[in-house]
Formats: sequence, C-alpha cells, structure tokens
Amino acid sequence: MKGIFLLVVIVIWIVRAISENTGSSRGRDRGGGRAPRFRVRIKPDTIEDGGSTFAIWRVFMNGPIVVPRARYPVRVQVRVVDETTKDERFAVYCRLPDLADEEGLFLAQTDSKIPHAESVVQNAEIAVVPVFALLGPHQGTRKFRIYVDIVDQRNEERVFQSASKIESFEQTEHGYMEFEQRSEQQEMLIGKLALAFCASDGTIDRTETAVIQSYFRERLAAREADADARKRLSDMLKETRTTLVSGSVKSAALITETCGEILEFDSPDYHQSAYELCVRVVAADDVVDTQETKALAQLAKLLHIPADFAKEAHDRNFRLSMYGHKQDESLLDMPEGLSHAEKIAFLNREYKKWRARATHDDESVREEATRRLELITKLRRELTANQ
Amino acid sequence: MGHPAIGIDLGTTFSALAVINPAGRPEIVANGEGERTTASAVFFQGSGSPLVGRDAADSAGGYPDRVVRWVKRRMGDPKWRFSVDGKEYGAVDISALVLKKVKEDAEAVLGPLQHAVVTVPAYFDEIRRKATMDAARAAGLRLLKIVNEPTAAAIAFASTGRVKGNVLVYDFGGGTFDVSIVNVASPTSVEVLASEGDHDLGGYNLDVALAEHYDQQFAAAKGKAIRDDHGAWHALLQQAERDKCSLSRRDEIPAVALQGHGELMNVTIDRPGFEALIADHLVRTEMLVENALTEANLATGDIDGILLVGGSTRIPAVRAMLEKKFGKPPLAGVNPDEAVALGAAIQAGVLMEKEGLSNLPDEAKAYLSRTSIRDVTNHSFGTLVLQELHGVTRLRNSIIIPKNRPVPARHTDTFYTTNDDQDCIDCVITQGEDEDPEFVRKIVEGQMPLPSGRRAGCPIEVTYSYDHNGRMACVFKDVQSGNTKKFDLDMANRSSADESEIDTSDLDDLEL
Repeated sequence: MKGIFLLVVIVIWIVRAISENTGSSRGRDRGGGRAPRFRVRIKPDTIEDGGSTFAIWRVFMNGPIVVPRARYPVRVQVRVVDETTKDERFAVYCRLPDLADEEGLFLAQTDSKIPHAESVVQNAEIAVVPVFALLGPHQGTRKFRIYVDIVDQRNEERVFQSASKIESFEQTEHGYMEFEQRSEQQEMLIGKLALAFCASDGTIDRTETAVIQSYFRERLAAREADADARKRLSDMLKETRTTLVSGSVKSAALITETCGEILEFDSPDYHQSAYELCVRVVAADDVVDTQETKALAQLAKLLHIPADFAKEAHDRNFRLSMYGHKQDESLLDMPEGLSHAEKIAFLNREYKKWRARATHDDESVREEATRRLELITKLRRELTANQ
Repeated sequence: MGHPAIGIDLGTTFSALAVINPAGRPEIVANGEGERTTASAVFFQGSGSPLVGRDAADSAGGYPDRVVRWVKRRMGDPKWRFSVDGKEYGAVDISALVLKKVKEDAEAVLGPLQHAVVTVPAYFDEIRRKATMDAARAAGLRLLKIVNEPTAAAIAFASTGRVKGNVLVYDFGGGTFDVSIVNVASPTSVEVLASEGDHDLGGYNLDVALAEHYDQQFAAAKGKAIRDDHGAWHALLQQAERDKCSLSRRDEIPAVALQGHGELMNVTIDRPGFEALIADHLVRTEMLVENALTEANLATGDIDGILLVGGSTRIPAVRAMLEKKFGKPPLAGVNPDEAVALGAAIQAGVLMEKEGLSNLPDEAKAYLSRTSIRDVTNHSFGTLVLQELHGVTRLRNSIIIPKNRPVPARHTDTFYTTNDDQDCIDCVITQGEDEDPEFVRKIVEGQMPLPSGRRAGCPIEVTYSYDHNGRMACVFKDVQSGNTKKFDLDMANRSSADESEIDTSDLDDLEL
C-alpha cells in the first residue's frame, strides 16, 4: 500500500512541477545580467503512511532549460550514487521496484514537455526519493549524490541540463558490499570449523571433505560468487587442512576459537548452518560413534544450538544403522533426566512422528521410519517392563 | 422400489457383507459357501475365473505364486503388481475381485445390489481411500460413502443399546490397527472424538513373527531357512496363522510340524512363548491407544467401555493388556469379525433414507432417520509457509485443520507476504502432521498472482473447510486486492480442481 501511494505522489509531482514552475527565460532575463545556473535542491522530509513515518528527500530544480522548440518532449531522470569516498563511486539500490532500474538501482524518471524553447524553472519539485528504501554499499554515514538529468525523450544521450547535490545518508543496516563480505567471512569460518571437526578423530578422510565441498558448491552457486571468491575459499580450506594435518594447530582449539568467531555474527541461521554441516560430516562415513556424538553435543553448546534444532538435524541426517548395534534412548535424542511419565510421553510423540513418516513417498524415509518405530517400541517395552 | 442398503467390511484377511433388514436392523449375509465372512484371498487357477474366498486362501501353500492374500496392505501402492499367466494385477484389481465375490453371493439371496458403504481403516490416507473407492466401483457398486472401520463398529454396537458414554474401539484386524474413542449418547447417536492407527500393524505381523520364530529353530537344526523355500514359507505362514488362532484357545501346541527343503522337524510353542514374540506389536497398539486418549483429552478413567473389533483381539494377551490398562474387561457379546460390516450397513441405510433410495418399511425408515453419526478428520491439512523457528525463518508446514477435528470443520489462518513487490504466492495444500515440509504429502500445488508495487506484510487469508461428504475447499485470499485462489478437493471422489478469481460465497453457505 505504501509503495503504491508513493508512486502516485511522485508521478503527479514531477508532471505538475515542470508545467507549473516554468516560464520564458527571455521574458525574465529581459533586464540583462548573468544567466542563472541550473541547480538541484534537496529538502529532507517525512511522509506518514499506515501510522508510520518514512524519511524522504524532495528533489527540486532551479534554473534555465534550453530545448530545440517549445513543448519539446524531455525525460527527467533522477539517480542516486554513493560518493562517500573521493575516488570510488558505488551504486545505490532501491527496494521499491517501481523506483529502480533493471538492476535494482534507484531511478526515478518521467516524461514531460518543456513549454518554451528557453525556459527557467523555479523551485520545481521533480521527484521524491524514498530514503527508507535506499541501500548503499556500507553501513554508517554515507554521502549520496543525487543526479538530475533532463534528456531528450527520443535520444537519452542528448542531455539538455544536468546538476547534482550531495546529501548525507545514515545507513543503519549492513550495506550490500558487506553482505558479500560477511557471507564470505561466514563461509570461511564454517569451512574452518567443519575441517577442524573432521580432524577431531585424528583423520580427515575423503568422504568428509566431499560433504564439505558439496556444501560450498551449493552455497557459492546460490550467491553467484565469482571465481576469485571461490578461489579464496578453496585456498583457505586447503591451508586449514594442511595446518590440521601438520599438527601445528589442535582441532579442539580450532573448533573452540572458530565457534567464538562464528558467534560474533549475530545470526542464528548461520550458527545452525555451521552445526548442520558438522552433522553431515559425521554422517559422511555412515558411522556415528560415541566420540562423535559427544563432540556434536559439545559443538551444540559452543554454538548455542537449540535442542529442537539439533534433534531435527540429527533426524534429517542420521540413520539408526549408523549407530551400529547401539539400541538406547540416546539415539532418539531423548533429553536426560526425564521422569517415567515424561519418557512415555516422549516415546509416544516419537512414535506418532515416525509412524506418519512410514508412509512417505521416499523409500529411504520409509525404511528409516520402520527402523525407528522398532527402536521406539523396544524402548517403550523395556520402560514398561522395568516399572 | 429401491435396492437394499448394504455395508461391506473389506478386510485384510476376511471380508463381510451386511444388509439392513425390514425391521431396520443390520444382519450379516452369508456367502455362497454359507460362511459369514469371506477370506480376502484370490486364487488364479490358470483357466476359468479366479477363485475367491477360503478355498483360494487354502491354496496358498500349494500355489504360492497364484494366490494373493493381504492385498489391503498394498492399497495405494502404485508400484505393487501381482503377475500371473502373463497378466499384471494391481491392489485395486484384486480388491475388486473380492468385493465382486461378496456382492454376487449376496445378490443370490437379496436380489440385485447397487448402493453400498465400504469401510476402510481410520488411519488410511487419501490415496488408500481413493484406491478402495476405485475397487468398489470396479466391482459394480455405487459407493454411498467410505466409512472408518472403528466408527462403523461403534455404530453397530451403539445400536444394541448396551453401551453409553465414552467407548474405546480397539480394532486389531488382519493387516491394520485402529483405535477410536467415540461418545455414544444414545443407540442412535455416535460421535467420534479421536482416531489413531497404523496401517502396517495387524494379525499378519503376528503370523510373520511366529513363522520367523519357527524358521529360526528350523535353520538352527537343519542349517537351511524355510524362508528360502518359497512354497514352504507360504505354507509356514498359514501354519503360523492357524497356531496363532489355536493359542488363543489353548496353552500349548506340543508338536508343530515344520517342513522345508524336503526336510521335516517338530517344534513346540506355548502361549507365553507366543506372547513374548508379539510383545512389541502389542506395545505399539498400547502407544496408539495412549495417543488417542491424549488427542481426545481423556484419561483411562474416562473410558466407559472397551469394544474389541477384528480377529486379532481374540488373543488373550490383548484383552489382558487392555484390562490392566483400563481396570475393566472389554465389552462382551460383540462378534469382532462382524461389527464393522453391521455398522457399515446402518450407515448405508441412513444415507439411502436421506437420499430417498430406501425401500424399507416406515418404522425402519424412522429409526434410521434418527441416527446421527459425527466423525472426525483423519489427517491434518495445512499449507507451507515461512515461519520463524529457533530464530531463523524457514519453510514449515502450518496446519490449518488439525487431525481429529469434528467434521464439518472450517478454519481460517492469516499469513503475510514476505517481500516488497511480491508478485505471487505459492499455494500448497499438505496432508500430515509433520512440521518439516520434507515429511508431509503435498496434495495440490498452485500459485496466486498478487498486484505489484506493494510492500511486504500484506495479509493473505487461508481458509480450509471439510464437510460431511469429505469435500474440502481451500481458499487463499489476498485481503487487499480481493484476489482469490480456490481449490476444491473432493475427498469423497478423490479429485481436485483449482480456480482463480471465483466467487467464494459457496464456502460461506456451508453449514458449519
């Protein structure tokens, strides 16, 4: 609703501003003197919508416009560029698709006709920039330059007038460049953790590294990472493996240190992804031994993983056959310290869950569900027999 | 003049047919061999028509590759095929042959039959229900309704006037287990409170457990497993089935003759030994009973009567387990093999009376018209949405109409768009209780377009309704624009259609 409201307002303003605030420059400059310069003025403002206040910039233009003839069709274009640093210019994105170009960069444009061949525009409001919807490259105080161009409708290369103005912009969230950097940093840490976790039993075997490779291939593809990013990650993985194999860094120490770094990113999604990759690494060789189970429990603590998520991740990735001949309640992640009645309730819930999965379309899910049901039944029988 | 109202219990091991008599009461119709139940077995003899019934079941040992039994366990499995004489049969084809046999035998007594109610385990999902309906149609029946087996049994028993209050129906059949808790307010009023079940838990599992026990002893003595001898294994399964029944009446079978690979040996089995073999299966039924009580929000002390249905309930250990759990013996005087068919016939009579198809005397019609049956949804129905879980937004199955909700049911949940300028939403209808989308069945999928230029957070109302006839309507509505996407899922006929931008007033007219 807010998006629609803004668009309507912007279009009306641009058209009215040009038609109402122009006059013949000949008539105005008849007394002689220096011709006025074409300028842009920005007025920070707010709008109310749906009970909320949104920051905007109102864009005004002043000065002469010379076109080939009266009522000449022009296009008024407003763009925003991040020019915080002297030598670098960064794109500014807009989250409102109707105020963005094909690449998502901010662009407000409208077509109009200049009433006279030589006109002077006075304080004409030509656009509203939705400040709340802008996204720059980095977090913090930024300098955004607002560009206004008046171009030929039939040939945008032909610019009749152009001006710009710098405005300060406070970016409270991470910028898009930081998303990429953060993603890369996070991937590096996840990779380091997974390799350290592989090495915690003294070896890093190929099935485990294959799981890690597969995970990163998917992840890099999802964020369309470039070749350099892929190489950086690949180099880091190789280096970490070498370090671990050489014994210069102990896996336990690296796990603890990396978990600390991972937690610095306040993102549960990221923490949980790191944990689930380690679960997959454990499952890679189709064996889950006691040491690995303990290591995962420790990792869950270090990464502050909720017990429910850990259980779901185990259910998704571990098959009962991976535990060998072990047949106890720890295989179902039954919490410790439950009373007899609580244990019965837990087993009933597990029974209900896996019974439903026993009719799943995927045969492997059905087979696992059947095995789980057998274990649950056995545990329940033993529990009742001991009563 | 209408046709008689009949109910058919299409069982895993045995099937039965009942009819409403002129007094408005249900009664079993014996088959052509004079038996009150018909073995759900088909013997493809090579020439002539397939043989259905006890003779077919008895032929399994001699012709294991020509006899099909326990086909109900395969219902809804598109991959299962029985190949014989160069032809392939699916579970629906085999079930249709069984239904045709009971129908034709009953027609010899009652005259032409058309309308029927056929029963299914309460825990059957939509695919298995659809397969059952297909089999009924293939057998030449006009299906009035599919009814849950424990519900049918409760209807039959309630009609006797011997029970009132909360009744636990423990239905342990040849291939499936169901437990339902029903409230019987009067002989003509039955309301189901909750149902649970397992479609892979029945007398067959007990037969296999006993046969495997025999086989282990044979293999230990002879160095060869009977299971590797196809014909002998089928004969052993039949032996185990007979011994299972025998051990319900006697304490020991001193000499069980085992035969395989041309060798013979005798073993002994006693009742405690058999009960130890089947203990895990009984534990499973106990867990399902507890889950049903939880779903019905009742304790064991709230149950006024326990009704046993299905042949496997004759096992003394079943009765002992239930008596210990509830502190009272199960209700006596009910034939566990016949109750389901009798209840199905009552339901058929009620439906035919409602539709003006009944040929019964007025007194019987009046009785049937007073009968009220209220069932529950057998599965949960939901949709896939993004939800926050453990601090992370993930795709989850959000249940709109939960399992065990009284039918008719209707519920609306509101969800919100997640992205600015979101141009559509995925409309997915799921069946199953799992929150993890990986483990639920997607019944229907579609998309609803949304207007452009809006910010995230636009409300989308999702309304599901489920009526008495198993018709489910699902409407996804964009509140701001009024755009709707509607899916009509005719669960009774197991078909679906989706329409966009259509009037939803019929949903409002549902009597709920």
